[in-house]
Amino acid sequence: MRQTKNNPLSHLLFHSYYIITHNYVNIYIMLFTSFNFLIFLAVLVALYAITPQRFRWFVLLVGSMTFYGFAGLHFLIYINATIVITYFCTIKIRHLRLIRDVEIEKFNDLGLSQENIKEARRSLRDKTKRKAKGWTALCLVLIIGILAAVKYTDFAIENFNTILRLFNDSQQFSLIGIAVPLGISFYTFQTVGYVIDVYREKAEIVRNPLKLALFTSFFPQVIQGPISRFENLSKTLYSGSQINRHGLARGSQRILWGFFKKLVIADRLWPALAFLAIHPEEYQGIYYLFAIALYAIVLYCDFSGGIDIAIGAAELFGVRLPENFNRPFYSRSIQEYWQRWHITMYSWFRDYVFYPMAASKRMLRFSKASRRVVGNNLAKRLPVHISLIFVWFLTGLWHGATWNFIMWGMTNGIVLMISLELTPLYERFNKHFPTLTDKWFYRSIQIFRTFWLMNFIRSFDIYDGVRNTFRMMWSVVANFSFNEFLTSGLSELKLSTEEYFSALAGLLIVFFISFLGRGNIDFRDRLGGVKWPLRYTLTGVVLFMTLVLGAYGHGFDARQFIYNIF
Amino acid sequence: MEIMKRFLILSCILILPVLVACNDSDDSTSDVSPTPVVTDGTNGNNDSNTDNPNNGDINNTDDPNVDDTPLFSLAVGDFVIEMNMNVEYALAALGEPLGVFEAPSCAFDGVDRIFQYQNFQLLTYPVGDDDFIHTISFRNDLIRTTEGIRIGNSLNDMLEAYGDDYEYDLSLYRFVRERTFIEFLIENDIVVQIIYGYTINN
Amino acid sequence: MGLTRGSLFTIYFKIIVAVIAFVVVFFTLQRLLVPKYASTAIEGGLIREYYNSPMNHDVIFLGDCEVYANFSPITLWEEYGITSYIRGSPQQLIWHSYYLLEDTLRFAVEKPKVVVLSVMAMQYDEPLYEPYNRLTIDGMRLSPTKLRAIRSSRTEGEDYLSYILPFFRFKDNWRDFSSEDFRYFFQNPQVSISGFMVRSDVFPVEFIPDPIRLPNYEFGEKPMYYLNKITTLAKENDIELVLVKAPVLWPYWFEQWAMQIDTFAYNNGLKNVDFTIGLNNEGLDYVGLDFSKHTFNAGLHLNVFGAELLSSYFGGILKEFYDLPDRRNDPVTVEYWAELSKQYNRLIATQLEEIRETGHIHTFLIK
Repeated sequence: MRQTKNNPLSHLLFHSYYIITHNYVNIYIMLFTSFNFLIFLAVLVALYAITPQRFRWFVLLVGSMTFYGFAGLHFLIYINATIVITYFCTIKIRHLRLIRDVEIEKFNDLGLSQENIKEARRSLRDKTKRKAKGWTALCLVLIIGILAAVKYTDFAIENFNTILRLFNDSQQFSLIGIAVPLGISFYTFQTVGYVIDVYREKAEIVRNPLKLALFTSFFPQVIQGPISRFENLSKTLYSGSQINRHGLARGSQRILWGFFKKLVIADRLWPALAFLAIHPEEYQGIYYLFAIALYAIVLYCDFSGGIDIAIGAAELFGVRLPENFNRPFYSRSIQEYWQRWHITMYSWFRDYVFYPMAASKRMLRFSKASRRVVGNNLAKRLPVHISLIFVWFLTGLWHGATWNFIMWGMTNGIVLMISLELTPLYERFNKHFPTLTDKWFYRSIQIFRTFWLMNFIRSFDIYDGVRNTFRMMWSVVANFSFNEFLTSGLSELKLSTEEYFSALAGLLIVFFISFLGRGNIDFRDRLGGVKWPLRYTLTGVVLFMTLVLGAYGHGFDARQFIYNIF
Repeated sequence: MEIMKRFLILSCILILPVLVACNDSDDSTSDVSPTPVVTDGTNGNNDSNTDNPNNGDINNTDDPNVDDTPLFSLAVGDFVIEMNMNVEYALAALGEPLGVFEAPSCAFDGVDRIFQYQNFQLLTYPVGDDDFIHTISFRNDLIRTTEGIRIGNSLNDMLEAYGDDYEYDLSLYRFVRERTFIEFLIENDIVVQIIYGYTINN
Repeated sequence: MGLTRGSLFTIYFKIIVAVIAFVVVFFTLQRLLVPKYASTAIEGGLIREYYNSPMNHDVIFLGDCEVYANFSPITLWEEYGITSYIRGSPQQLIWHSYYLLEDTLRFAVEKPKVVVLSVMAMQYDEPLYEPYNRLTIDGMRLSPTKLRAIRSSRTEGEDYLSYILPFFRFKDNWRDFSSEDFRYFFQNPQVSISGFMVRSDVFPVEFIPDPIRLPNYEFGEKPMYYLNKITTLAKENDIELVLVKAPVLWPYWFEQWAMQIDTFAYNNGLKNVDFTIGLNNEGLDYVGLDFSKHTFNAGLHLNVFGAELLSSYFGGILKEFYDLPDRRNDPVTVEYWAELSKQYNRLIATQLEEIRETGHIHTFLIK
């Protein structure tokens, strides 16, 4: 990305806002929280409803391509390139397997001995597998290559320039400044998952290229996830189930909820956060603590709000998307956190990078070899550690092409690693105090600790430069600024008292709803049990709170979802 | 019945987009926030805490990121009037003006003011309780610009002093440096009016 | 899920109830949130008040504060029996004026015979500032005219929806809820008398600065286009159009502009009354304006006393050149205007009292 150096905001995840206002990408995105999007949904629902069942998935495809095209027609080239490459490679694999299966059938007719047949079958399977591996690898290289080229070229050039400067070389390469297509990180990874699942013979190979196109570009999830697995998504994506009251009601409720979180809380609090982010020198210590807590709230409401809209939009059409958030701030440890926050991303990296890597033959060999150096115990865990760090390096890199993100990823990895290592210690502690762990008091401490731990790790997202971030952390002890906070406090942060209260009201409702959702019961089911006047009233309250208190319209900017540029 | 239903639905939804489609690029880049903290690196004018609402971002020549060419400013005797400066400083240094005029608009508070001195006028706009200079207008040829041009100088003199990196429109020559600019109105190849200006982010 | 007649009925019932509840709550909230213009920017209440009048005026004024502060319909009535309404609004631009004329012709019970257009806004080429658009357009009744007005006036980012449903523009007013919003829930405050805003205070002219010369004095394409449209619309409806420039010292009215107006008037057979001729910091001789007592903001607008003098003079011109009936023999009209005169005089008296006691005016509303 161009010109990230001088603007601290570029390191905020709200890149897209910065990008848009600087004509970096001159787009007319259809934001999720826009009236246009609602109209689009209404039109699409109606079209879907009047289309015969066989072709309904096609309507979704047309809708998805239209939606994506709003971001810029030229971006359609990238996503279609990915689709074409994937289709071509997976069809090739399919052909290989078809041939294999035919050949295997033929063996039976050749009149060979059982053993020979088995041998022949095995060798054919291996050969096919190797070829399939080749095609898979080619496909992955190409589509990840597109992602890398588009997203990371400038980052690479920047770093290269830095290295050159170390040698006092005056030759500096200029940045190319490619516009990053919307959602490329998400749809690429979803497609990569599909290809790998194809290779592993876990997913059925899609023969209709348009159906594959729909899987890749399905509009509710193309921009910021959730990342679906083909075997799950395909169950409902192509079935063309008719629009029904139930789906419409639940889908709309979910969409409303997403709007509520985003407009009433996230967008409302955002100016304060942005202000703190650009003035690290003036607002330190307790302001820093406030900023990172605020960021947790804003990021959660923005991101999960967007996901709610995505899931709700899909639900209108009877398509089921996986959950991406599960009350993450109730996590009691960082491990639990990553199973509750951005769930699909975490599980994607786990299933497609971590497990293959940690269990790979090469890694096992390495682990064996290292026993001499680090001892048996450590050698056994080494694959996990190395894979962990590598996966989190990638995760950080995937989030953004800056060292801040990489740092963020690595920090998560290291803390996770430490947490893993400390597990035996925790277990011993729990054995000594078995009743303690059940007490809500103890659990609250764990939740509190995890909340703040994650807040600190996330601060890399907020401030410009890794060094600055560390400085801000240090300022908690060095320059707490408590008095300042007491006197002027929040009033300087570009938000009025009423605005804070309105966001707080929204937060309380969110908290209440999440409380209702304990025990993994969807609160809407609980809501469904309530008498309809009360239910309608509650929905009405949320609706009107969103309409009145939402930070949109005149005087507000189009605040993009945070993850839109991925 | 089924067909009727579909037809009804279709015609209903076709009306909806008309309402919002008549939109003037609302979701695009043009929607700039009135809170300038976010728009670009230089801070906006709404921060009434400081003297210079730009927080010294532009006018701070210590900042290595800023272009070396100084911004347009007018020297009156020993004092330098910088664009978008709080008019209090100018008043303190230059003394009482000949007249102060308030130019309100039809309905709103927030009064533009004109401070008229012997040789020039200062036009200000309000931010909170303070007024900031957005225009300096020369009244006569007794005052010259920092680069040495007065009313009455020739067009060539002016171009020699300022170069040719100007925007020209309807006998007005405008030279821009970041948010400050200077304009020369030319009639019959003579400078007849000189104005210093500052582009307010509004 | 079999749908019995009963459950189908329940579903429809629920939906209808929900929709009605939504509509009621929505429009109640909208009414609460919309600015009442009772204390801040009360000029915003001007346009909507026209529809409360009998809408049968013989003379209609169009323009910005140069008409609604400087011409007194009460004087025109009392001295000449001319019924008039000032359809003025803050920073009204020429295209606003055109659509207001169209709007007047659409809703008026009787078409006007004379339309007086203030030409001050000819210098403005572009929409200036969104709030001014709202102050003028929000008050208009919803009609195709209003939609066309929105289309030609909107600034970047404005859309039709927020004009048709002002809820979406003013929803942030929840932050400034006040008793005003409840007090004026059912009825708006009255801010003008036949479109005229009364100011009884005095603030003499002190100092008028030099104007800044412009590189170009030609009126822009857009204002010229709409000036032509106004002229045509008037002709088509057998209405006499009069161009007027009020006697104010600022914003400066350049000679080059005055000449263009003159030329236009001549070419189109219109009368052009330019009160800046002979105008100086002391006042305007032939009208009897004295800027030490007839202005309430140092020469930018006349106060009510100045407005009366100006209207007296201007009414004479109207009477002389146009066939305007003297409505003082119609009892219904007389009764109506008697009531307006009462309001007018009462307001002046109240304001003068306030000035005597506190030095400032506190009362600007009639009701």
